[in-house]
Amino acid sequence: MHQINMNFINLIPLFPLLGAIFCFALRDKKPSILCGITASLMVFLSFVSSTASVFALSGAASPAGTETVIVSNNFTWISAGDLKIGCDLMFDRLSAVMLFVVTFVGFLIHIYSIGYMIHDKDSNRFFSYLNLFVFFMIILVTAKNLVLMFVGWEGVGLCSYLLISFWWSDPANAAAGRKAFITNRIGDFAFLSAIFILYWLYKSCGFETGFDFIKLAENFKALSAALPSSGFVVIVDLVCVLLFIGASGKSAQIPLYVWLPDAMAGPTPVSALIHAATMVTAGVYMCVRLGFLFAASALALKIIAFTGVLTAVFAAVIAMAQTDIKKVLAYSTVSQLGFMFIAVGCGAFTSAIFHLATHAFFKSLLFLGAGSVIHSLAGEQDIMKMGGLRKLIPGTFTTFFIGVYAISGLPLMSGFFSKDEILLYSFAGPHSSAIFYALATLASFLTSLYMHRLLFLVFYGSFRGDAKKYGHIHESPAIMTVPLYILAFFSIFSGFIVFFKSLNFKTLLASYQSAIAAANISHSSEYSVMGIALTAAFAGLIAAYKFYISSNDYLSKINNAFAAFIKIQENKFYIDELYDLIIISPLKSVSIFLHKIIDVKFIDDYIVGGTVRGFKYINSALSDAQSGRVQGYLSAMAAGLAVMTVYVLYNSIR
Amino acid sequence: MTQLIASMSDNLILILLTMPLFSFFFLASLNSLGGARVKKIALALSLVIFTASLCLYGGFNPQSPSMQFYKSVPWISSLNINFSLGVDGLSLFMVLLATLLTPIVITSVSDKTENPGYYMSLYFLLQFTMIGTFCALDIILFYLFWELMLVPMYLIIGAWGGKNRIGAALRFFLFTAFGSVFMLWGILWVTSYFQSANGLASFDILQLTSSAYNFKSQCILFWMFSLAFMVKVPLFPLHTWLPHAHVEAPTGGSVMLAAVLLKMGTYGFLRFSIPMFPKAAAYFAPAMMFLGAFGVLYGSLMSYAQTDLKKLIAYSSVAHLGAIVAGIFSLSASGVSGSIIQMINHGISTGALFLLIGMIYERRHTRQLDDFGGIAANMPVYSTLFAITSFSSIGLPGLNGFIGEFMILAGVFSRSWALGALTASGVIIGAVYMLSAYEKIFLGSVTKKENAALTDLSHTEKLCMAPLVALMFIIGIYPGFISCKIENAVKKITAPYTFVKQAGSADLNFNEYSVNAICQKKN
Repeated sequence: MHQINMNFINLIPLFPLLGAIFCFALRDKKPSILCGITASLMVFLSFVSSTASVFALSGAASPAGTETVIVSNNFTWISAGDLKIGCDLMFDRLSAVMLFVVTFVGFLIHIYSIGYMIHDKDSNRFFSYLNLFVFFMIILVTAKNLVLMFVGWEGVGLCSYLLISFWWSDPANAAAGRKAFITNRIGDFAFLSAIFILYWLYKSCGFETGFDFIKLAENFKALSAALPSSGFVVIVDLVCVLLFIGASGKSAQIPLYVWLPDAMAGPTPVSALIHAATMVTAGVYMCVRLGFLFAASALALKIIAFTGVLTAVFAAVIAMAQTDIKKVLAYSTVSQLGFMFIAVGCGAFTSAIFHLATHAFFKSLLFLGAGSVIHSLAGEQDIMKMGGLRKLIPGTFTTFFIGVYAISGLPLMSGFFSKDEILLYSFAGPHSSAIFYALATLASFLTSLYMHRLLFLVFYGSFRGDAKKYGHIHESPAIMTVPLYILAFFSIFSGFIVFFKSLNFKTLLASYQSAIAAANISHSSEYSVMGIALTAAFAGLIAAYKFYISSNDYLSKINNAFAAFIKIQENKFYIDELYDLIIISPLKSVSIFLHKIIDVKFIDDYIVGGTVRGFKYINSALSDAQSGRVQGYLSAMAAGLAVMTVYVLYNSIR
Repeated sequence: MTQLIASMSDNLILILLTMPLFSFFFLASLNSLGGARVKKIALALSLVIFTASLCLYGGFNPQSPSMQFYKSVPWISSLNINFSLGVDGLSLFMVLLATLLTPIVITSVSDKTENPGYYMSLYFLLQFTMIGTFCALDIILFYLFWELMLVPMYLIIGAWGGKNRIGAALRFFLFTAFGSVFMLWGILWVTSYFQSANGLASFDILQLTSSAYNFKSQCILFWMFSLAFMVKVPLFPLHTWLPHAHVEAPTGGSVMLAAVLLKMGTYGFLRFSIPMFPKAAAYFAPAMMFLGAFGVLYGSLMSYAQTDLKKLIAYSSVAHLGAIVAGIFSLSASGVSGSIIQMINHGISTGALFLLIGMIYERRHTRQLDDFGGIAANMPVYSTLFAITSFSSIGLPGLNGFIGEFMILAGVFSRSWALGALTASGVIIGAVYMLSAYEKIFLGSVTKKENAALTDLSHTEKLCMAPLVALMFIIGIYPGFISCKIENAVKKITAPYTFVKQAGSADLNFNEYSVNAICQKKN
């Protein structure tokens, strides 16, 4: 690993932090466009600085065969004994891809938000939180060590909490924010545990690596040599599984996905930025960043792929029955994140990041498009009350259409390339499996189906909503549609890896992947996977067309046949209710029970109260003894005398 | 002039100790002056004392491993008892905590308080005893201050407290006195032991510490001292006095109790239990770590069960202090320094929480969670400060709580994964009870008309909170200004306990409490 020192990269997170402070200072002032523009400018500046860093990185001469990293060692943050954690940043090709997504998509969403939030009385506060989010996200992807990464990790969780419950006067929004934060904390608990076990593992073998990514990766081989292989595998398995639990909290995988659909309570740009494009992919990023570890744990990879595939299918099934436009997209995000984890689990880290990037474009496009639809319908989110909008809001329709095609994996769109790679690796990669492949293909069929269902219900047919509203439907202002066009452009073309080519994306992470055997994939399997994937995507399109456009016959027949199942599906398989039943309510009742039994009854009443009562009893006994009544004294004397006599007699007899 | 300065800095610690005592008498004599004027005088005095303590911080040399600002005056010379004082990195920050919070508490005192002179003077008496406890280097002197501390606190709760104040004050007094009896016994034992072994009487803490005792007596003495500290911390199952005391105490009393008084217990572990009886400490460390770690889970669950905000925070103290104890008894550099930093952090964030509770109680005269709802609309500044403080309390990275929590967990995990995980359970449940409480009080829509009329914080109230909130950020981002000064103190405490580097397969016995050589060769 070739390291170059450049403090310049500190600018990347600095700009949005300044923006956040600026907007927060103005939060009580009258909302003005000033905050929106400043916030957008700050994100743009950090986009510019990260692009400059890309040039610095690609321009740097490095010894052949080594990966170049720009680092900035700033100051020692935490220090105790030999534990030293620096507040240090790094910038390598992986960070470059993530930063491009975060700052570029982030910038477009900021611009869009100016139009979307202009009428909100708290828009200054909104932009402050949004900039703070970008700051923490940049820290997350540029952190040079695990602990600083955790700072970004929790920081984005905080911003997610603040933005989900942004309109907090509705109790439902406040509850959704709390649910997101707490579910994430369950993951964080596992993440933290993994960090400490990893630290302990290196330290007990004599490697003073601290938490530094570069040192951890460099010493990993030596570490595995220093330990007996069986035990080493056990610990690495444990660490990787714990890390994945952390990742599944942030990236909404089974069983910790439940917070993401509720998170749609936040403003739509937030859903696009945080809950689709960036934050929720942090788990995938973390797995890839620590790829050298995961590559050594076959068990963890299997668990990851299995969870991913299960989530991809399960969420897609739920998405089919949702009627809220944002909820459909939310479950779709959960499902797509599942795809990324399939890639991770099959050892195709590069494909995971590839899909992460393309997904960021088309999913934020879809969310922003949904926001534009909601905006033009004055807040309506129910797709059953939409329909026929394609003529009324053509700009939104065109871009949304592109988004749907990209996510469905139809030919030559970005999603086609990235999803195809994942399917290929699940079919013929180093950790492939027929079951994973079959289920992933099923999920991609379902994706195409529910996305076209959404497209047809919203934009085709005739308007099903309130007739009075029909006349007021209008296209969103340019400040909202221009970002849509730009995102649409990238949704189409990012699949050609235009950007990533220059970064030599294909060999990205080669150093991390050394432990995974290079996949030896034949052309025939490549073509057959591609063929089947295309068939699945088109089958979804055709099925959706049959159900939702050509006639309603099929649909009503199916609805009748599977009425019970559809009811369960609409209710999201009652998972929330199940969690409430087995975790949330018991936690509260156990707490109250323990408080009543142990604290109040046992300790306070029996032990403390008992001691007090004991003293009272002794006290009253002693004061009785001094009552001053002569009869009492005499009888005590007599009793004493009797005892003494018996004692003396007893002794003399013996 | 330079001579004057030199002699002042030479006697800084004596000045720092006597100023609160002087202020106590002075303010008590001003009782009839009326709230507002007494408050001004008290605030000025407390700020002078705080400035003096800042000189202590500035003058403290982080390189020197010995006690600094050392001052010893013969007291009872026939018994070789001296009035000796000094600070190391540990006591330095405890003193700073006491001197920082006093002006804040004084600022928060309402002008309408009855007998304001007496009330505020008691905080100076309290400060006097706390500084004395943390700086005393003679064990008799320490015990004196330790016991004397009960008096002002008893009076603050008993005379200015809530409805059931007498019962709570009595309970506080009796619990602590119960522990102290054992400590007194232990003190007499250990000094006589020292005398018989070395031929001369000494009550000097450093001398007592440097002497070696056999393992059996160490074990008994360890518990005699530790019992007193466990009550004060308070550690499960000796914690039940705390919620009662907090609920009945006036705001200032709660702040001082949580922020500083509880730290006397953890300070005791670090000053006496561990350095004096190192082998016993290593031997009982797993048990103590377990009690601490269990306290985290238990205290957090108790918090979740509460409907009274003050009780909720009181129980959260049980959880936080449990983590601190677990960190201390990990006997590792990161665990112990994390614990010291967390002692400071808990003082700041829990102190701030009690201040905030006092502010809302003054407006609404209730602390029941269900009586609120949606008040963020009327009180934006208050709700922001409450949110920051809550996040600091649950250890959000970037704020102070995370630093201490992280270092403690690093220490505990290095000893036992299971106990580490138990300690880390607070990460989840802490978020559950704090965010639920926050949501109930601040979010949603206003449902009660009393809440619609609430006014946001006054300038005085903001001023109260400002230094604490600033510290939350400063410590969270640059804790170096603390850790550099405590390094030597930590090194001294943890020096006998090294992290064992085992070779080969032994590494895989990860759940075993891998203590060092000291425990294996226990005489």
